[in-house]
Amino acid sequence: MNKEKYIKDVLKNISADSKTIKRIKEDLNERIERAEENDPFFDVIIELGHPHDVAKEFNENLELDPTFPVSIGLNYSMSPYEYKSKRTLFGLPLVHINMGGRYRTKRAKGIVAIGDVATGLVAVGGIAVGLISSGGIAIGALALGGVGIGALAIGGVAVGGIAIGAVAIGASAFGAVALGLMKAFGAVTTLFK
Amino acid sequence: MADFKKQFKKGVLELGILKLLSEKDQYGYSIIQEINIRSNNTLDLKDGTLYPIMYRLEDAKLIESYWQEPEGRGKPRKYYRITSTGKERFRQMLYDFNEVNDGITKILKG
Repeated sequence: MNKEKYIKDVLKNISADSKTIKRIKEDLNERIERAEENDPFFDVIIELGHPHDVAKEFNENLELDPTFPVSIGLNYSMSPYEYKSKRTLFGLPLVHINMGGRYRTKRAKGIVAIGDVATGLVAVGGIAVGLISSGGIAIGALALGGVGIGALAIGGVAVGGIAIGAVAIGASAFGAVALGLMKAFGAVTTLFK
Repeated sequence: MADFKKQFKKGVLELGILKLLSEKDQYGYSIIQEINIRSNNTLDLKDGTLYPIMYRLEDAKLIESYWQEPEGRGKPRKYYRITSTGKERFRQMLYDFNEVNDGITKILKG
């Protein structure tokens, strides 16, 4: 495994802030280069260990908890990622992507927002709130998610004006279990009047 | 027990690193080698342990890093050196360590 790939593999499993990640990257790069100079048969895995184990040791010694229980994020990497477009509309970035990091609770806010917690006209996230939203928990005019809440809600559990889901609760509800105010279609239905 | 060793090592490694840097400026790789050779590998210092300690010491302004151009060809090297605050802290830590070591040795001798 070459140096760059090795360092990348280590860093993607370290849940630290960007300043610390930069420091580690610089020091690992320096350390491997020095070892390569001293030993022509240097093997990074034999010498430093598997990237996952090295990252685990960094996490422990940086006093970060690698098994922090709250995780609502979109990705499994603990390395944070953020992109914000320079173009804006109504004071909001056209696209804002923000996810990952130690707790994976990064907030994205934009016209199109993608993040652990996303708010925007179009929002995709662990928790997504927007005109059109999709995510673990989605809230919006059109909400598509594990739990969808909206004017038109589609999800495992859907709550809304028109709700479509395994469990659907709404003015009009369509689902395996459907609880409706006006209409209810499904295997088990209840109509509230 | 593994946790005891880990916690114990963490404290003494700071002392060991400050001692090495009080002798001469070093880069990360040489610190790892020096600690492992001098301790006969009993401390088994690894990168994931060394650098977080270095960051703590650097943030506390006990050590600082700088880049040095090599004499011949080659890339610049990142060195660490102890600061005057670090030297003072090292003396205090050494005093504390010896005091605790004396005390615990007396207890263990019975």
